[in-house]
Amino acid sequence: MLKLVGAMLLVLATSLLGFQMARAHRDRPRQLRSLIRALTHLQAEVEYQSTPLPTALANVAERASPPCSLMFRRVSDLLMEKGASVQEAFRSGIAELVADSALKGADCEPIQMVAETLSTMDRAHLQTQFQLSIDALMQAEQQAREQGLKNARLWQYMGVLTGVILVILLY
Amino acid sequence: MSPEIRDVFRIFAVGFIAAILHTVLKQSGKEDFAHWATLAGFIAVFAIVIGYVDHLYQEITSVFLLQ
Amino acid sequence: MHIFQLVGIGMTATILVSVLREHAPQFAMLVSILAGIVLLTMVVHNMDGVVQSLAGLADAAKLNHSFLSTVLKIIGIAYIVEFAAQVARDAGEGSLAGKIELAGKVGIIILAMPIITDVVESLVHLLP
Repeated sequence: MLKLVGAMLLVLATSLLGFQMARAHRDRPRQLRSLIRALTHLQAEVEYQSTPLPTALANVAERASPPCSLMFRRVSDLLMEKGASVQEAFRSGIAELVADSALKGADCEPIQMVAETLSTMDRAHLQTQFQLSIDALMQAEQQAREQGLKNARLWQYMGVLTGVILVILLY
Repeated sequence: MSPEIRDVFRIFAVGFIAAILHTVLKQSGKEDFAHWATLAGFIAVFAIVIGYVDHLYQEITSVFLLQ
Repeated sequence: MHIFQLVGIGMTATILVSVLREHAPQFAMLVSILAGIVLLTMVVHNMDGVVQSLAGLADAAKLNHSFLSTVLKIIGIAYIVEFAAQVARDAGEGSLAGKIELAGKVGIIILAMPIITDVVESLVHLLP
């Protein structure tokens, strides 16, 4: 009886591990889409409404969903309170985003480039940079969507099957 | 259930799951990992079988007086 | 072990091997090897009693002990070699099976050589 409970616990543990790994793959497209929306909102705020940057970022953070909202809020706070440069603020915000979400460093590259263009504040250049970044993110999102489901299912299978094989070998 | 039958079923189960894992990994594009996984399962099963071969060897040498 | 258990193991293994053969042929081979080994081990274990009584008979008949031991060794070699050759043939290695059988035959001849020489010498002595 105890053996059966132990075996089920082992399978459950490995399955949950597998599901955890799968979740990262599944969440990435969704978070990329949220990032695109946030970036578009930021573009609207900065270009068409000319709001100052910290306020614009705060507004974007209001409308966005976590984890992107947290990043924008953090960047906004850094700009307003600490008076850090735009590039540094974004860099630290992105570092936190990569650590806390399913996004990778390469996904956040377009945002870093927008940050760098924001600091030079060249209007026309800014517009093209926003467009480039949004396009890059959309491409990444499409790729993530195609790969993500496949990888997620793979990790779920691996988790369950590894647990079952361990139980069978150790039973 | 005698331990021998349990080992037969164990090898069967490990082999079946290894085949499933192989297919799943190959469909997700990680073919080399699939081969490693199958090889690992094969080695695990082989370890079980080798134990039995050793037992058989002891038995035969003792019964048939093969020094 | 009773005969039903042995037969049960054999039939279960056959079914499992036939199921496994198309999905994972290497593991099917291992299952058949294991079942064969288990059956052979049980058979040899049961033969222990037979061999002991044969040895007792030989002692009672004042037979030279080396003759009986040679015969037993030859039987042992024959069993092992046939098992290994069958396994090789099941795995599709017909030539390897032939080599294994050749090794067995040569081993048997080497074991039987002293007896053959003894018999021939006795015959030569008998002839005038």
